[in-house]
Amino acid sequence: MVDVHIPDEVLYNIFARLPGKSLGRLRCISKYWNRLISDPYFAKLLSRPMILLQFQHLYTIENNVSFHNMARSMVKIPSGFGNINIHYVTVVGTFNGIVLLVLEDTSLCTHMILYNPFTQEYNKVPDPPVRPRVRPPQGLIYESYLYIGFGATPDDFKSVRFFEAEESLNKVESYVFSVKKNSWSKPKYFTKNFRFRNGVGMSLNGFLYWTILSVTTTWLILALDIKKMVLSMINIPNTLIY
Amino acid sequence: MSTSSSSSKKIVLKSADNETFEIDEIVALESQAIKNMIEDECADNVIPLGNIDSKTLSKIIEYCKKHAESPKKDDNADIDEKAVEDLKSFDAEFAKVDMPLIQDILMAANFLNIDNLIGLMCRTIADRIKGKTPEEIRKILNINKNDLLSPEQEAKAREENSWAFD
Repeated sequence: MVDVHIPDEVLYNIFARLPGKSLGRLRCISKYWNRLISDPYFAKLLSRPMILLQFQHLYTIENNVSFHNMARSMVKIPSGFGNINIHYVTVVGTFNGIVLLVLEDTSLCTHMILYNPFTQEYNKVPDPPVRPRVRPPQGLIYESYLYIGFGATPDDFKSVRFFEAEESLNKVESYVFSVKKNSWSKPKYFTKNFRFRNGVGMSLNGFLYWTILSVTTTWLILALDIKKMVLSMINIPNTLIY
Repeated sequence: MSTSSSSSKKIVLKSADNETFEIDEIVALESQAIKNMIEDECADNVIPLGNIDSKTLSKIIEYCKKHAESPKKDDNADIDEKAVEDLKSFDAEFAKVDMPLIQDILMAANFLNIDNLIGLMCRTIADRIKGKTPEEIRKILNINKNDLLSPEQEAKAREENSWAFD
């Protein structure tokens, strides 16, 4: 067969059956294939469920690949995004194939990265208006650690970060990063009569949820409406005692 | 409208090199395109397939015959596993041909709209280029040399996708 043009939809049918690693190589095949595989419209078609694994480095594995094909599908995520020396990585959440990672570098500063494990592209999220404070020595960790969540509103992805306010321990300041606008909101302050328990919020249907400990040491769930930026609390039935 | 009981009815296909193939209608129905023609009553005469040669067409008929004979999944919830296995090994054997023929079958199956066969050929091509280097893939698929990236573009693409070469 000489130079018969394979229609795009057939090529995509072939591409969709290949692990991401092969697709990375196919970008180097020809101009036409490079364009096809890089097309954002089709990137979505070609995306597939992946598992993020955290060992010494982060790895991605496509979840439909059999065990003996691991080497063909396992991809090591670059150990430094740009010039960040990663000390610790937290996977905050994922939407539409984009993963929000929080990296703590070797000098204990945090960086937020929006990462596409399929194309290996990443964007560094600008620092919030308030420079996050350095993580303190062990023991104080819950009070000052970064509380963060990544959630979707109908038209945008938003990341919410809480910081202890400088002037008062009973206040918490929040900043919202809009992926669409690529910028942070002005701070919003909440009275805080609770302690966060887990750093990363769970995202569901436009809300972010954290477990918190109230001043009376009962466990509650803190819910944040990402669109309206309103906090509410949910009682946990049959109060859990640790 | 034709019914499934009219399986004795024959359909005649003519390849690009003017060879005619007479097949049972039930076999022809594996092709969604021919099925539409039959339903529109445009299949009473010979159906000319001016872009499919006889070598490719006979392979395609071999495939459709086998698949038409096999019990369909939606016919019966508990078809015996032997039939499924049998069809699987038929498909595996069927795909053991050289790459130009694979591509010809794929193009023809796409034209005739035979879903399973498109899938089988795409899977076969994917399996053959998995884990291969760009040079090997270009050779396997006989990529048009006029469309190669310039050395600078290729170096850049390799740099950007270096993770895929580990």
